[in-house]
Amino acid sequence: MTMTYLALLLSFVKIGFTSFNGSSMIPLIQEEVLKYGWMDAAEIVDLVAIAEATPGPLGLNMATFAGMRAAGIPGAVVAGLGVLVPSFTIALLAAVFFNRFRQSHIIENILLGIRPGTIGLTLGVFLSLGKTTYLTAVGAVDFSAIAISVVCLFCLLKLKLTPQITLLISAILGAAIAGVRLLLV
Amino acid sequence: MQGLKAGGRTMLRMTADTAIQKEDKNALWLYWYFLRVGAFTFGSAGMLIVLQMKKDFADKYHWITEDEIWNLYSVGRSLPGLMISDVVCIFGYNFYGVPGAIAAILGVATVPVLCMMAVVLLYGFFRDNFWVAAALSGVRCVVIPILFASMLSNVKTAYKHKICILITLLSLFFYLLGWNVLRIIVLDVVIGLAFGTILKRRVRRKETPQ
Repeated sequence: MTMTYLALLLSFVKIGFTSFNGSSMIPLIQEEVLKYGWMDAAEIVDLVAIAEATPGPLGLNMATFAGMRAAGIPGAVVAGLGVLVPSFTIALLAAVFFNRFRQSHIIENILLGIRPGTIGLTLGVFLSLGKTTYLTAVGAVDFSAIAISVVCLFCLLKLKLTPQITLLISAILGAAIAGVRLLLV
Repeated sequence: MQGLKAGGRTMLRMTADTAIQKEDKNALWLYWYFLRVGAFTFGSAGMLIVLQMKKDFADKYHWITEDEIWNLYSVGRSLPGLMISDVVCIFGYNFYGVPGAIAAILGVATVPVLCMMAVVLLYGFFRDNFWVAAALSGVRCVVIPILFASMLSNVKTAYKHKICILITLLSLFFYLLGWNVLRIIVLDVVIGLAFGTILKRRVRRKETPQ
């Protein structure tokens, strides 16, 4: 059990330190939780969606979920604190040396590489997420899933709806399609 | 950033008393403040918390100026770790030192962690229900669009120089080769540092032609 706590802590400290805002942490989260079997591929997809409908940043939600799965409530606390370690350390240092920190170019240069790099990684993650989302268990293309995604993309980019409303629309569409299928069979 | 749109309205009334002095309060009060603010920000809208902080601490209590809040935000955003916990850490340190920083981080994290614990308990329970499973199958399809939209908003800041496209392609290439993600990120950091240094030298050379 102690080993599980240690693995959770190390994994999420690693995830915390290498994530720079928002969805950029998903590739590493995916790699780590799949490696230890804390979540499966479908659960990761579910959770990214659930995180949009619950309070708090994605990284913290992921950490709590994986920790709770692996080792109950103490696991959730350990993983949650793990992902916050950069704030307790680097951000605190930055707060102490705030003005000197603002003038330093190091972080700026690191971001020069990190920002485009994480976009490349996210593109890579689309492939594996796409496989779980758009292919059925037997390997056939799931056209209704593609249709829902197209509608969601339209809602987000053209209609500028919030992710929460889009989420609600997708849930209704999912239930409606399942209902129609139920009637047809 | 979708958070900006909803930021116009007040998410919650913090307190009717507008004359709160920082000398009267302590780290514990800061914990309680961030606990409440953290409970009302859904999804990836950490920006909403920053806007609420601006509204309360800059406009109402005058503890800090609006410019200072945006400085906090831009530094917090460029630090590793969750953006919002970095921002509230620096904010908390400014007023109540290290205890303030810790109180602010823990405060903003409390409700999300409790919420997710409840989700884990409900998730297994509900997933077996036909209609919930059907709705979830729809919800799954929203993930790639949401990630795609947030990626688009990052594109603007990511490609200040043409060479940055190369970093994207390189990272994608190594990811598809099956490289460890951490190793790719370290590689990105090294490239960024090297490129930044070269760029700075070039600018300097232009300024002094001799």
